[in-house]
Amino acid sequence: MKRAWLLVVLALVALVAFSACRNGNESGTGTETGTGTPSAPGGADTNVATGTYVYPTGPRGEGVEIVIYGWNDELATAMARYKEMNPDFLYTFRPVTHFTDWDGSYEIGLNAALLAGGADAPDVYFVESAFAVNYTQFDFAHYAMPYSELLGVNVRPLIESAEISQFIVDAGTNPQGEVVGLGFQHTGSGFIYRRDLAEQIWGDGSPTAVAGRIGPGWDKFLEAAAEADAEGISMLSDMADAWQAIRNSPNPWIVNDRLVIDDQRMSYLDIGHTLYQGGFTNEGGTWNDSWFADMSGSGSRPVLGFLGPAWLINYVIAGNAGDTAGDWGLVAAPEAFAWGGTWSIVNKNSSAEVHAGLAELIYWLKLDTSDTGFLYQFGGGTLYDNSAIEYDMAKDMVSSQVVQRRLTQTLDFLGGQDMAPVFIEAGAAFTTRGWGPYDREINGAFSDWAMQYFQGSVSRDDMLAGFRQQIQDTLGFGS
Amino acid sequence: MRKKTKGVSYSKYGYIFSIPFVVAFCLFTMYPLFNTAFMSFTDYAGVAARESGEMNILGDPLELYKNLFENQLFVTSMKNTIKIWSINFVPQIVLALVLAAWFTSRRNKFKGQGLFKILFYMPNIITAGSIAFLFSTLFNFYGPMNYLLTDILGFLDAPFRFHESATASQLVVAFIQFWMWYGYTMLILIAGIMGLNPEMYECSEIDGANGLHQFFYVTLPNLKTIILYVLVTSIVGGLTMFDIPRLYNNGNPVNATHTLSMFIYNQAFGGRFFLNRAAAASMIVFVMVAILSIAVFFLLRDKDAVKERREIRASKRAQKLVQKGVY
Repeated sequence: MKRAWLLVVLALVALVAFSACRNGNESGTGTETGTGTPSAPGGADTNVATGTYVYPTGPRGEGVEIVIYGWNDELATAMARYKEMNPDFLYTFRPVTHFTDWDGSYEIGLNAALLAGGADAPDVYFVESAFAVNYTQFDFAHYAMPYSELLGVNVRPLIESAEISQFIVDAGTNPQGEVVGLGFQHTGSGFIYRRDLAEQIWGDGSPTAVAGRIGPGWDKFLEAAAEADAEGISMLSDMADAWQAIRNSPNPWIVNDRLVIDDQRMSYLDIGHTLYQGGFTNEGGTWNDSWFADMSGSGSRPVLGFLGPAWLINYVIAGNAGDTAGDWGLVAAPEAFAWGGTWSIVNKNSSAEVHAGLAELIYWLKLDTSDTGFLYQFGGGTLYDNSAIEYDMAKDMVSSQVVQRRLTQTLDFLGGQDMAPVFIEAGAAFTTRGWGPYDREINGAFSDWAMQYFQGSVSRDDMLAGFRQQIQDTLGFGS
Repeated sequence: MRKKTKGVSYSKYGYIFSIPFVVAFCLFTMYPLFNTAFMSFTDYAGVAARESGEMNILGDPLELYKNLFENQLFVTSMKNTIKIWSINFVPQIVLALVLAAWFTSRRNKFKGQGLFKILFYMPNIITAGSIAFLFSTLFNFYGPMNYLLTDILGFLDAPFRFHESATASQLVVAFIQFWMWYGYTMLILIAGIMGLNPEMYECSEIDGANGLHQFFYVTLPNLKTIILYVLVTSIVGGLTMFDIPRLYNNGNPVNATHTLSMFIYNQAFGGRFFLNRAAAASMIVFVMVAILSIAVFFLLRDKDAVKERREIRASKRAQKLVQKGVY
């Protein structure tokens, strides 16, 4: 019996010891990283001296490691390329890449790493449009280092002279008015369609003819969808393609801690209902085999087009288009929108040495408009040895209009059409000011509930009630 | 001198050897349990709280528990979890029992038993993630299952939207759970049956019992403790179901495959970091598992042994009374 008591006492001692050590750790992390205090309200970018950024010379960064967090390896690869081109840049990289972004697990990993701090914390992290503002304007904004502070020069004039698209700057500006993140791609989007199918429907597949058929506005788009349907052609591959264009409303989902469904998003219920009930889409989902099959016309019905930006053409459609390549066209979408983009953010709590290395990288990636800058080489497809892929497909639209104008953005894939005018116009008409921190969850819930309504499983009122209830239940925002 | 005659006590080594377990148990089970329980009464939520680690007990400590029962997603998750678990467990135990009885049958010796045991157990070895993705692809709108049902067998005129149907998604998740675990359950039951005294079977054979009689009157009653083990572990596993529903359809369509563990995970690590709410939900799951396990223990208790113990106690009491001279 005595021994049993001894055991209990031992167990309790262990318990107490562990809770004590836990408390110790906690205070340790707090002081080391200073994460407990919110970012000091530093001055806006205008407080930093205006000037030009000059790349450092001579050997630098030996033995210093930069931890890179990304939801793909695009920018980590670009940084490695910078190191290759600059032998004196001796920093080493530790890329942590989560390729499982579809369910939000990248953010969970990134959040945990930011909160934990220490040597394994990300020094630079890339955030996607679906959750970018959570790291620039909301919950995790206080980890983001203002670019002006990082570069030591006021970043505003640099942004202006590079003519970075406004929607990209807006999403990367923190509540104090400081730029803490910038994208490198221009993700203004359009309607990418098959000319042969358009010709079959309307007798003329040229962009000038099609532009007037499918827009502006969703009413015309739906009319066009009905006409396509009469020819046995689906307007879009999946409902998600349409939702992509509608969800980015200029108004936020959450206003004063309350959920607000604005007119634009509400209009999806009508647009989607017509598309679904009319059978105007193939409805096989996106980012899967059936979506890719629709790009080559081997799905259940031929699909006229896809709504998306330049990267959708180069990285997705082109690889799946098969024989249809070269017979595609591009026109403005029924509604101006942008899709995707990667904003790069530097961790405020990293060391000064790391910051110096990152200043160089961030300037090269986002603001250097010269011929040796990332933007020009990336946009023109000359950054890497691209001999393995068709030259055209290595091109991309970039954030800086100054660079953009120097690039030729005609694509053989689009029958020699210049993709720049359509995408730039869309980007100019688009704003990211309605983006919020929980858009991924809210958008996902809304489109799921909307689908139930389109399928006739629930009435429109029940759908809206169900959606509101879900947001209340998961995020605690009432209506 | 007296001590020597008493002999060497080895029991202290038992206690020493159990220290690593006790310490590990306290650190990784007891401490998180108490910490979670405490957290469920506090305001520990949001990024700032995670950064500072500060917890303050709520004005109404039970507030989160009350709110949870008004949270429809939590209630739906609970219903889904119980539903999916029931749909998977009943056929699982039945099939496992039948297979176990066949494999241990003294009358019919199957050829290639080892091979079949391995094949049936195989789904349990493959990682849940792979299986979830496999089934997600199988039941895709353009997937092989629809191809089979429409083009090959001709049961359906048009492909069926498995991923967008609540019932279909729940059934598929339940099926995956069933398919992954019946082999495991079968092995446990086979082990249980092999441990039974073969004399019982011989006796019953002499008494003229056939295979069916033996199964119902010899095997089943003697397997009670093994079935109890299977049931309790299955309840624990079933109520904490997470990987398959999350990776198969991520809780969709509209939360039809959203389980309790997914609710806890999403509340704690997604969105607004409601760690306290997740802790309260965890405690509710803990209590549910405990109650269900106790209920199962009670239902499957050995009634004869209980009766026997009671009789022994009664007779002892009577003896004492006799000794005291009451009678």
